[in-house]
Amino acid sequence: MITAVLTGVGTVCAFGSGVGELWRGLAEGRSAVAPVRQFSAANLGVQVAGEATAADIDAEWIRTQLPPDMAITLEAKLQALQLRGALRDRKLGFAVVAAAEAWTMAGLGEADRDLPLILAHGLEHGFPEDFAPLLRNGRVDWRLANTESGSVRMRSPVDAAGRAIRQLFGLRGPLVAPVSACAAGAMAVADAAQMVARGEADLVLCGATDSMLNPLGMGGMARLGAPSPRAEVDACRPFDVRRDGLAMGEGAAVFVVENAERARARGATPLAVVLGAGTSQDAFRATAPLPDGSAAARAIMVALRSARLAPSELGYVNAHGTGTPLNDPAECRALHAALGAHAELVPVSSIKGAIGHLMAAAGAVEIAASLLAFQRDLLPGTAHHQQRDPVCDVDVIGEQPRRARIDVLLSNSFGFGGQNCAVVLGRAP
Amino acid sequence: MLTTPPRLRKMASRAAELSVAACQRAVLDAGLSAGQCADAGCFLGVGASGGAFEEFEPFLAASAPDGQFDPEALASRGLQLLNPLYAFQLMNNFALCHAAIACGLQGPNGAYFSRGSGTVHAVRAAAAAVAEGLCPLALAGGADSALHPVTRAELARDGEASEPLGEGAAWLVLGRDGMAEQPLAWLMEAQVVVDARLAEEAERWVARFDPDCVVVAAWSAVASAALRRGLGATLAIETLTRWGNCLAGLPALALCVALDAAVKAGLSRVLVLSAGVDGDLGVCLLHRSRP
Repeated sequence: MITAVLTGVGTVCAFGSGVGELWRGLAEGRSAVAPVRQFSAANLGVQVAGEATAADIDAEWIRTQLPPDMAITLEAKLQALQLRGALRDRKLGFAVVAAAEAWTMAGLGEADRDLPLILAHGLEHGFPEDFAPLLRNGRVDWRLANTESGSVRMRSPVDAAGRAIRQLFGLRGPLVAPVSACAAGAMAVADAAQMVARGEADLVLCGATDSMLNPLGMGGMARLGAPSPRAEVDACRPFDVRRDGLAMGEGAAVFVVENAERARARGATPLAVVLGAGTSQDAFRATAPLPDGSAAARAIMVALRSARLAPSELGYVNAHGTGTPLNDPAECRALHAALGAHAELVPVSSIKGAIGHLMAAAGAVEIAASLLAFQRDLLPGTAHHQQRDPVCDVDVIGEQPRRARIDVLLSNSFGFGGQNCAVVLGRAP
Repeated sequence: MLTTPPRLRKMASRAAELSVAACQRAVLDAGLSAGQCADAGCFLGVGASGGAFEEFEPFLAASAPDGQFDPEALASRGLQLLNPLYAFQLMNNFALCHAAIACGLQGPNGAYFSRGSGTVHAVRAAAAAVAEGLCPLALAGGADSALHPVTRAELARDGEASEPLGEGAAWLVLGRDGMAEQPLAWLMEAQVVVDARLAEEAERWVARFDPDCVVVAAWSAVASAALRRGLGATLAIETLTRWGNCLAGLPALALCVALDAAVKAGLSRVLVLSAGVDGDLGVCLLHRSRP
């Protein structure tokens, strides 16, 4: 049986660029959710978010985040992307930076450019400002819309970030673009590990990117009623009795998933082993998770079964933990259904209070965050969690990280529309 | 004619409505019970966001009161005109989720953005889920509409797809060998060739499989002509000109045509070649009888 390992990781989130910044922020028990700086969100109904540290994502910013040799090589291509308007979609820049870090950490090179890319994407970035000049008497005059070919107008292509990475890195393998909402990032990692386990590829670049931190994205989410209405930095309080909604975030995480034998042969140092994964569908309602958590439990049980592990072997659960009134209790019920008595013993935390909900990228960034457990024997804390809701009857780690040496962890991701994904990681031997 | 419940219409794009209708037909056609659906996987190739533009247009007008976009106007006036559930019309994965909800599909799943090959990837993922025992059966397909005004404008601007444009959805039910008494066909191949030279690849796959018929599902007339050049004298069925370009839905609809050719015309081997605008080629092979 082929084992898949993670040999590279790169992230961008509200703690900054680089997985080291993510781990440092979590290790210090900080929160990076703050008032939005890019634009005035005063009347949007959502005013705080886990915003990436740069207000403007342009070719220059991307270049400064890249390793020096890569920055020089990619300069002209990045400028071309900027001229086309492609960098108006912030998630494209995040993905490129995260991919560069993962690629470099894994020590990949010219011979690896045939690898498949599985990059999960969030919703297209819509540009209302592009529609405004097309309006005539309150209606869009489509005859005015047919402008320069190749330029990014009205909305960014769904898979823009994946196409950009493929072009910038000179990749020749297939591009797969999961779009399974908040479960998409975890599904990308699961798909990559399965591709390696099946022997379809020895090496896969995978991950996710998203940003909905724009007036339309934030306003639309506010209309749904998902974000906390409070304009406070503790907007998201997972599993807390006072929780009242999520905090939005943005960012990306990209991994190199590799055949363990290949990694060993070339002397790469694995960050973790992907032991198993499972997906399921609530098939309940578009607007709410299945209250009893039974479908989410199914994904967890499939993941454990594929990892050939008993629930008691889990040392930590990185929860989806959105901090919404309905999600957190449903997830706790799922943990009880899947883990039995061990659900009360295993430490559980959510990092969404610290960096916000990264939507399609959430699962991938949370898997990257979970690696802190293997890298530094620290389980991330749950920012702004102070008083556990009795209906969330699990061992919630408080605001500060907990020191523990564990060998196996579970990361949960549940998407709008009911798509669930659970990934089991193990400490690399 | 689609009869979509009003509440679903508030949350579903046109592609999602088509997806629900096609999924329900597939479940009915395969005679699946509620229990079978609960264990079934679902994998779908989906297109770009397709929220109803007649709902979006008043939002835009209110957000640009003087012909210029004003974030303050968006917040204070524009957003109030959008139905609160409009975001669900925009979410790409809801073409899958609404179908899963309507049919009670709770097994493994995945939604993949598709420029043609994503739909073939969905079929491949479904076949793998069944083969690996993750689910006894899985539904797979594609759903999209090229008739959305923004999509039409983008396609026209970028010259990425040929007229006539269309819309459609198709789901197929894949099961383990031996599960059904009378399977319609056996799926022997589902894969994607990256950056394909279409004529050469078409020739190569025809030489390898020696099909009785090839269903051609290309997004553009140019790609379609290239594929047909590689087919030689092999019987070909063209889909683009028949239904219009249904984007992510087209490869799945082509698979339905292939099934029809196998079952009703009694052809033994039917090859489906689908080419999107990304240069990738989807290759699916159906056998009428057990190989």
